Amino acid sequence: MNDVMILGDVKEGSLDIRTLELLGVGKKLAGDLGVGLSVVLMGDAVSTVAEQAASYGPDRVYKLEHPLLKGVNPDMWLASLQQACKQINPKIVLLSHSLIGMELGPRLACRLNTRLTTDCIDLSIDPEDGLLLRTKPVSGGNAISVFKCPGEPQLATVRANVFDPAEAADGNGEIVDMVPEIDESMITVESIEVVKEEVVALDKADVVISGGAGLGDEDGFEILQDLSKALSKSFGSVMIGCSRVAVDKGWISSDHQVGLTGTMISPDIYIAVGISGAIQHLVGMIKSKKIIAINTDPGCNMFNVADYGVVEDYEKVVPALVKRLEELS
Amino acid sequence: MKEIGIIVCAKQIPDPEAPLSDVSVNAETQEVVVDAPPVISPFDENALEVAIRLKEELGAKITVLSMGKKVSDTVLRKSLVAGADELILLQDDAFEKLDSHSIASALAGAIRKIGEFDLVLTGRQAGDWDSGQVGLILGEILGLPCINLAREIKVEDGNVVVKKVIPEGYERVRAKMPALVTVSNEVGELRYISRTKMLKMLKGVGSIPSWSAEDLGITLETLQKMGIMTLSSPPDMRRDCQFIEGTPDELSDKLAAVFKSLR
Amino acid sequence: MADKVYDAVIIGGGHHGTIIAPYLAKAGLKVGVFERLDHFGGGAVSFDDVPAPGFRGNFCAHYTRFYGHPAYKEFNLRDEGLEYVFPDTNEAAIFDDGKSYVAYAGWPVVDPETGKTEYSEENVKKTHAQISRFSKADAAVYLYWTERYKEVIRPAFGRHRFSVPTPWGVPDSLEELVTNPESGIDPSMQYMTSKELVHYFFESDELRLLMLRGFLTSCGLHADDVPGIMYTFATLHLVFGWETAAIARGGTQSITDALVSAGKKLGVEYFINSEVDRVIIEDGKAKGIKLLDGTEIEAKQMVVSDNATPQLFNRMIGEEHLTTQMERKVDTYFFDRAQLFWGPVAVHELPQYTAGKDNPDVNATPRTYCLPNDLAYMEDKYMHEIFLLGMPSKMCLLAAPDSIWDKSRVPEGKHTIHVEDFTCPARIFSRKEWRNLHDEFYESMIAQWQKYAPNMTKDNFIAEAIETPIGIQDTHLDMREGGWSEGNAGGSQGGRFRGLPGGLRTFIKGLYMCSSGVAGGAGIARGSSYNCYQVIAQDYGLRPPEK
Repeated sequence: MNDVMILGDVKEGSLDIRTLELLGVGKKLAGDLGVGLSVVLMGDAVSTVAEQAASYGPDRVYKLEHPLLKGVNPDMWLASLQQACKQINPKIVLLSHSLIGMELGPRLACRLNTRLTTDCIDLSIDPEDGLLLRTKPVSGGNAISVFKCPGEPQLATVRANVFDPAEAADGNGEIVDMVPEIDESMITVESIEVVKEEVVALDKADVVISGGAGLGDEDGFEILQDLSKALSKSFGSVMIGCSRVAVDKGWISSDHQVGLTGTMISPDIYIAVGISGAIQHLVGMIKSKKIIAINTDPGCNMFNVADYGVVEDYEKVVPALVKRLEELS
Repeated sequence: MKEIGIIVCAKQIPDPEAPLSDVSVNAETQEVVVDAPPVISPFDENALEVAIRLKEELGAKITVLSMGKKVSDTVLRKSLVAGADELILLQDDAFEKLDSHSIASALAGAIRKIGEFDLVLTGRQAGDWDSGQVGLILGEILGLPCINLAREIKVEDGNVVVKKVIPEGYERVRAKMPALVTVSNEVGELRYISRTKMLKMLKGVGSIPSWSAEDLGITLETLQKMGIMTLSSPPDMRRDCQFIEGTPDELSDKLAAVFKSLR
Repeated sequence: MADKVYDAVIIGGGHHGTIIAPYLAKAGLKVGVFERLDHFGGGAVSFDDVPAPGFRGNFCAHYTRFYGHPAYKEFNLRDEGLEYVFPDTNEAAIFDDGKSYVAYAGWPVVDPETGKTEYSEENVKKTHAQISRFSKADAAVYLYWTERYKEVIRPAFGRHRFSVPTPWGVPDSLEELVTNPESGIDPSMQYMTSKELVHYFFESDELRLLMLRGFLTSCGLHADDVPGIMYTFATLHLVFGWETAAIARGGTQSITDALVSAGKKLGVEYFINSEVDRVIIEDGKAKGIKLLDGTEIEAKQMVVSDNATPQLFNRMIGEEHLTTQMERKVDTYFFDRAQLFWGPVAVHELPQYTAGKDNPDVNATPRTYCLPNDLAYMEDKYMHEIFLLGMPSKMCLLAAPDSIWDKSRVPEGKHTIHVEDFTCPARIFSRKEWRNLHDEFYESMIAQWQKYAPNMTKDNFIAEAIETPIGIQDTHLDMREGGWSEGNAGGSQGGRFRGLPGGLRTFIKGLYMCSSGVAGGAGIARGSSYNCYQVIAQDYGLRPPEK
């Protein structure tokens, strides 16, 4: 077998959009190579999603069901995935660059003695040797690099929102059961509890108001909150974002972080307050439709990518703006 | 309880906060040229901070490993002033542009050479290649339990207990030490080191050991380069910024008008 | 087809761009000035509400003597709103052992309208008495050099500042001093280091320290640098307080406002937010400029650049136009000196120095330095510490309480003080480290200041706007490494050697340089733009400037 194999993610009982994106790019690569496309799904009960996956027209859907695969225990998932790779013997393996993919990818690469490229934004086949050409932003987004690595399978994790999701196909793929050989003794990291927190879904926002080091202290976010309230009267969903520095300083929780290691967003309006515009932040918000920057430093990066710029202390402008917006509403 | 041994892997990279104007891509040498001073990769600084907190709480010996073709001990000495006990540089011309697996193998060699340890901490990814692999591969090579993306780390009864970042919040997990944990920035930034402390400590710092590939028993053939085919500049992100000027009141009028037009 | 046409196009509305514009306009040319930032003035700017609401802070230059620039009279800048106040005291120093020193202006201004100065026997006596407390021999040195200054050196400096550099081989007025026995100058002084010079002139640690400190402040020259004749005497003049201190009312912005106002009356057109991308060169002649947004501006006669060598030649002209010789000169233009922690602090009350008990004028001097009475430290360790750690363990702290003389810049009853100490080039530290250094500087500045003036507790401070080199570098492209002098200024990068060979008149026909990056050097009211105009006037047969 020489398939292109992808690992599916399940979210709230159905296939995650990222898996559809993987299916999309996987199908293209499989076509270029003239090989089959396989989907691997893992969990305690994945029959329904397996059928769902099959409807997108892969050649095969491998179903690895086991009580120990409930939730995501990386040790269990890794062992199962390793076994699946042994049996399927794929030419290419693609994972999404999600938290799970970030964790499984490097460990799988090590166990299969192959090389991984993470967070790819483009993938293609080198016609000369059939190896995977992996395009990845590096240096926080300051450069784009294309890598080619030896080893089998060819392994990559794929950035979300860059590939078009697959569309439902005519023919259904074959569903194959595969029994993972795992047991509790293989668990090295044990889960004590999962704590759900209220997490902002920044990628769902219409308007994001972000604060950075320039806020001076965590109270600055209260001023941004006022603006958020005022804007929410005219715009749909308005949320608070932040730069990495603000999280590092403990001013705000990391689910608000925009950027390479935070959330990648593309709202209608992005308002950057006191954010200088480090490249790793810019890559996370550059797809915003309109960007408004408020900063005291006229030379900062953020103004280079903004549509509108205000060189002024936010503590003067933002409250005045809130007042004005309230008068207007 | 005996003092725990913590190994922190810290990479030296060009200042990731450098403005775009100071960064250029040399496609020929396949290098990102950054006209800014080298720093310890920020996530690795986060890892060091965790180690120092554990040392304060429980007592620990912290060894910092930094690997590269050429590592500046003046940059890494900061880790000693912050609270690390030992700094070891892994330097060799052969360590240039290695792939993650080769880097992890060399680090593993160094850790085996050090011998006893309880915890290996790395940053979640380095700010130069953004690969995010070395830590986890290192854990695999050393056969350690691996925990990715820690936002809080405690040590209890020979176990490391970690709040690990997951999409819906966090998961508390536990592993028997020795273990490897990669650290995310939620743990907080490396403590501030005052200049006077820096000065005092620099006087007390002796020579910093530097180990080559040979010292680590690594044969050069086993080291693989990262396989760069091309390196290029990203698409231009510049937009034509329209500056809005005036007193705060005038600004708020004009900004309100902008919002109205965007509605 | 160009979007706009001028006779003279000026790249950059910095200090020298704003000086040369009215000169060119007065000669009958149509002049356009194109500035990258959203304001004019370069180093001569002040901002409102800095560092706190109701205050007005100088962002860059602070000590200015524009009343002595020929443009002050020629364009009636006093009528345009540029007024100076002249305190009688000039410079003070307080050592950490309690000793103190005040220099009184040897040449105070007697007519504020014209800036006319006159030698003051009385002030010279006062300064002499101050120096005598440290060393009789040093006091004699003061009198000796004051005499030489009066008779020979001062007139030479006056001629030098506002004249075009002579061709190499023809001595200029400062070079003439070296061969003139009347000047008292030992020719080897040209090649002495700062350290050698302070030992040459003085025997007391205190005067040696004052002169070392002066080398730093004049141009960021450290102990082992070679200042050259110009900076040697520029520094002695600080130590002795020969020339009067002067404070521009309303901040240094008043200089820019007056110049721009004068320019507008003469028809100069000014543009902000207009970054220049390239100088358009055709057949070896400058034909105009292209802005970053693509706009093309035609220069019918000339392009004048207020940029220094790196920006103009590397970026706007392109290295391909340079000969190997020129490239070497561009590459050896260093930016390793004159970096500062610098900016205004707002305070409730002025410092009350302990040393004021027996030397009351230290409390009301435009520049008061608090520094360790430790010559070995300043000579051997100070620079090394700042290069290694970003700041010295023993500060050499400047406090300039301008609001004593200019109340227009503060709310009723409050004060603004400019503070300064030296630091290292921006490249030495990361951005995060500079943020930390900034905070630590502020903290330790307060701690060290208190040792000299116990009332300078934290509660006395309202706000600060202290800038570090990284902030300067980001906003001012010619101030690489964040130094305030557009590159090293001593020895090989000072005087006639500053910038590319050719200096004011570049190797490209119709392209001139007027910035502080050419002969004339850094600092407000220096002669580079005036001299540039003289060269242009010669080349184009325009009216000469008034003296």
